[in-house]
Amino acid sequence: MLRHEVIFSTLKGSLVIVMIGIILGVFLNLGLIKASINGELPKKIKEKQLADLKNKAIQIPFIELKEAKRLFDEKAAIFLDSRSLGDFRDSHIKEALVLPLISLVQDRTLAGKVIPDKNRLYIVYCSGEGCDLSVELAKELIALDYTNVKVLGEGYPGWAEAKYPVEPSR
Amino acid sequence: MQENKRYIFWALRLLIGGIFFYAGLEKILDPFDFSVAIYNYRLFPDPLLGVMAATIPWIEAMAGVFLLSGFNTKGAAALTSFLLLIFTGLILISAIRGLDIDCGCFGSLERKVGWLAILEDTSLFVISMSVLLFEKNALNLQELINKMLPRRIEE
Repeated sequence: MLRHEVIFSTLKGSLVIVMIGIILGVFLNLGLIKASINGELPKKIKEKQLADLKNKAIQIPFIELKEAKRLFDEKAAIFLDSRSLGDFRDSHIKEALVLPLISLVQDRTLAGKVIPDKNRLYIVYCSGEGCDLSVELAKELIALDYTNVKVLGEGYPGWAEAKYPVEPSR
Repeated sequence: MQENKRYIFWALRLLIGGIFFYAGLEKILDPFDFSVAIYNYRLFPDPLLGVMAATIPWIEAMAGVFLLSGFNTKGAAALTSFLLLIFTGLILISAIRGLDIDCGCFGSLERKVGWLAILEDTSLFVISMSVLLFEKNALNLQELINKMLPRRIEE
């Protein structure tokens, strides 16, 4: 066989497999595809991720998005961003303080410098339902004797999606 | 020596076929879980998540079946090489972006996005390419049938 014939027959062989895969996949998962097209799938994914996150940290209290906003309005809580400095600089919940989990793990005295009052209410967040930095940071803070730490499971994306105040403002 | 090489590439074909079949099957059993893995990459539009989660596992599994059976091995090896190239690229992008997510490579088996996953996928790509370029269709069903057919005619 000539070189281009070999390439053509190989590509044809690949295409046959792709077609079989597509036909079987689409035929057997019509519900999933439909849910994705009408926008239900991302919602279901977020719900599952939040449930998984809560299961992963049964001893850590979570706070609802609306309750967090109420406390924000009343200035009754301090918001703590557990993401990287880069993410924080890009955008964060308005007036939040940054305490990246990685920095705290490297230097545990950092908590005392950023948030000296151990009895205030702290609401920790990260990049949303699929991220566990907030849960891990909350665990660290509780271990350091902070008495009132809660996790905002929806994180920064949920806050921004609800059009709550962020800075730099968008 | 030539015979030994045949056996090596035969073993590599079965290895890559087995891995793809297993990886596909894991995701076929729980396509929603795979859609979560795709969603976590934050690279694809939401309406595409379902189609991707529905079809990619079947394409992987079918490529695995073809490699294991020995039918259309070149086509299957070209496809697995192409898929591995895409997967490695996606993991690389996510590692650079600092995403702390499961790569979704093997369904329920947790494997984080990172340099180890990149190394694994690159190794699999090299194996897959070697099957594509050097495997001579040794010891497969197609060869077996080809050998049997003339005999049947003679009988």
